[in-house]
Amino acid sequence: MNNIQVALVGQPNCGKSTIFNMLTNIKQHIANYPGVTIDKKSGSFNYKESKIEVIDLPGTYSFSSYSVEEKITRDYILNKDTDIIINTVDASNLRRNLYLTMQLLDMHKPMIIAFNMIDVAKQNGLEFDLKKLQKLTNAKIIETVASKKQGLDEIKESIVEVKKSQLSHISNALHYKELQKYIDLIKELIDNKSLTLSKHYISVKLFENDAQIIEYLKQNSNNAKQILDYLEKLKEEFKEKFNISCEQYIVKTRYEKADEFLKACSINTKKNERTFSDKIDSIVLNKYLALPILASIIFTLYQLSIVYGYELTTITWPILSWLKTTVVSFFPQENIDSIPYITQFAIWMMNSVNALLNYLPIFFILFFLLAILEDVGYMPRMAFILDRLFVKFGLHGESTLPLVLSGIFAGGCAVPGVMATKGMNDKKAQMATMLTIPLMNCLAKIPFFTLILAAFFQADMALMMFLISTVTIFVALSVSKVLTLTVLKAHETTPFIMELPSYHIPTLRGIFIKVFDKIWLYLKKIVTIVAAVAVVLFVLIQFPGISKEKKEELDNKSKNMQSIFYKKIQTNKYYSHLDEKDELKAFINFYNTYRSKRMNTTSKEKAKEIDSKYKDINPYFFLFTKPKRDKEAKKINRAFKKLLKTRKALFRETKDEKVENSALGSMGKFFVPLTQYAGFDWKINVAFLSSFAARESSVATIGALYESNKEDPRSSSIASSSSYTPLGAVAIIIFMALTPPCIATMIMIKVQTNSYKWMFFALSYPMVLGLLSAIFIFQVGSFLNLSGVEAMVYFYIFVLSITMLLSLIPNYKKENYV
Amino acid sequence: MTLDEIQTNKVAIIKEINAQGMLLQKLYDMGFIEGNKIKMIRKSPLSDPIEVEVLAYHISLRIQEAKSIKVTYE
Repeated sequence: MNNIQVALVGQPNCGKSTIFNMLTNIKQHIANYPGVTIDKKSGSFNYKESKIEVIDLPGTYSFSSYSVEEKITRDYILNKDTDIIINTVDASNLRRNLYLTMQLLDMHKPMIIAFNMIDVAKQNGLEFDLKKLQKLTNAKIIETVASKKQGLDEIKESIVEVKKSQLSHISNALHYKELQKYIDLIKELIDNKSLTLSKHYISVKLFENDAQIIEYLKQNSNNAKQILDYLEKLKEEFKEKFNISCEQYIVKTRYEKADEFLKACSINTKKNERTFSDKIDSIVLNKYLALPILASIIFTLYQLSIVYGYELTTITWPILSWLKTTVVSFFPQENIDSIPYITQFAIWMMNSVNALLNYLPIFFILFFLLAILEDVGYMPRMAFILDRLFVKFGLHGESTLPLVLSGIFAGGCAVPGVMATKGMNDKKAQMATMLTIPLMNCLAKIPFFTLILAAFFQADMALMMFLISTVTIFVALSVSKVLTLTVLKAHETTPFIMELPSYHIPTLRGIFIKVFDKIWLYLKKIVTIVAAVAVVLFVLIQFPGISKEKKEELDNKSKNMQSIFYKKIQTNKYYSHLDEKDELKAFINFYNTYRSKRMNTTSKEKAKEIDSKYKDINPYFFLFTKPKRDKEAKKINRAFKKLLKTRKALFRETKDEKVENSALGSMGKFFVPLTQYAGFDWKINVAFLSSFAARESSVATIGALYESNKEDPRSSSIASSSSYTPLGAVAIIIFMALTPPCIATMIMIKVQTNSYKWMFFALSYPMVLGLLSAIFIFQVGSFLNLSGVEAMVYFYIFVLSITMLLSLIPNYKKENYV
Repeated sequence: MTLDEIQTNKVAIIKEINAQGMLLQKLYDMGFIEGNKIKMIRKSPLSDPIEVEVLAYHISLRIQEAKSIKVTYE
């Protein structure tokens, strides 16, 4: 086996990724390039005694050293270990694509040109003489239609062939006409012994004023100063003589050469018309229709993924709860008066993981639709439509989608939102978007809002919900503006120069690969880390546990409960089947597992199956569970249900006591001196703390803490059982709306920014902001004696005015792109 | 006149580019070269950025960036 390293290069939208998918199938590996947050996609396959490793480099228009992507691509091509470059060109847009090829020629690497989209080109009436192009470039040329897998074997074959006779396929350097003389003069000065790059390449890049190469020369060459001084002289001389700067002349020559190549190799060229795309654009980007179309696309995205995805969870949830029951069944059974620690732990872990897995159907639909939008080519258009709005706040047209996904109206999720920032070109806007995403209304905040609103604002629920879900947008815009003017000042900002590519029909395979990549990332990163956090939280809640006196009191209650039960069934004819403690314990477990099994079945046959199975396990227990007409068994059933109810109440009491005594409870109490100014007591603090792991748990925690004996946490017990006023409720809601992102989002931010520093920043600023806002509302509201709704409306107006004011501050001085 | 001022669908020629550094490089890479033909396709619904056609590509850029490109009609 010999190893061949292949790098895939090409302009954006030339079908490079499709070629990559075609070569490597699903066997792909995604990592980050060291030190930056750009995906490094690689894959490998075996062909005729060779192991071929392919790296899919970021698509670029050129190899300057201005952007990170371009630097990476360049370094990989010039790396000694890279044996062959596969340069993908879009045959239907050859003139453009050859511009990149011209730059590749200067790099002197063995090259294969994948002449892609040849079918589209032929439809447009283009014919090519590839032999001629092969002669001109000295590269091996293969015609491909990647979307239909045409040309796959030819590419594989040519890789092996080019590797065998590498020297004969090294690309011809470009001849720079009038400038060539000057380039040669510099070449003579370069001492090649200590340098890995070719003299020609270094010289050309020096004339292009490439910062990275100048640095490289200073590092590796003794006579760098002499060369650079001479270079300056030559450049001035050239400009004098030809009235054009060297940089521009080089670019111009490349375009001219590309034209020459094009003329030499294409026959019967008729003008390439973008009729199809233009027709679509005249509707999609129409002055009056663009915004409604954009809104309806976003609405459809929401409707399909969030709404229908949520409905899908009714199908998937039983599967997850089956998973939970199955896992828990491997652990020790419940006792009459307590649940063993290890079993409690298993239940806790499964609940935490299930809460996240529950989102999978939603994500699946969402990622699928996004991949379609992305591959079709709608994304840059979205940015084009809304850029003006966002740029005022230091964001970018490209921020639209991440913000929408995170829940600009209601019920998004910050995790795919943060993921969607990946492709943004403007690094400053990318950071600003990422840091403000957690302020949007995520899906899991909604039940919390509903709970509080139902308790305090039954009459004004719709109005309040509208105010809550929109106020966060203005907060996010303001925060983003402030961040770009302060902490993000140093981040690089890029010009908004984007190609609006022709529309493409996406391939199903490419879409599924994208979807599974993202789902896999979610599972790998999020679920594993949330599981780890769940362990920590479990410990924080379990220890130090309840006091001795309390434990005795609860034990007595439990004994009492059992004796009442036995008294009731003493005379029963089935008494002998339950008179032992162990039998009662077994029955409790029998009953609970049977119930949970039955809960997850929908079909009648399945239910029958379970019934007969449990009948076999223990016919008497089954009779007590389903007494039907057996009077005696009915008595037992009734008494037993009573016992279960009491047992549940006792467990809850134990849990509350435990929480109050626990480390987490102490933390909640610890913050009271500060949070009292916002009107929060320790219980709310605990709910906030636990919601950090996964927001879903905040509702459950509140339900548990403001204990009402009802099953439904949505009851208004929080309103009746506590000293909260509607004003206090508004403070709680605002704090929740602005509180830090959940753990999953934090991890995603860490993954995307590649820095813990930014992760902690993203964690801490919303806390401060949320607390300050809550204190502000509560104090001012109390002072002015405002009602809850009034306080909310005034706060809304206040935020809105700040946003308006901030939009007037200019972002940056002109020409700040250097 | 600068690029943001030309009429829609009327072919113009790029005369001069007044930009440095990254902006200049980006313009070059996208085909904004002195002497090339350029055409305004449309303005964004909010009238900034604009969409132009150069070398058979459709490219969007902000008005602030377009102001650095001087053009004339043929």
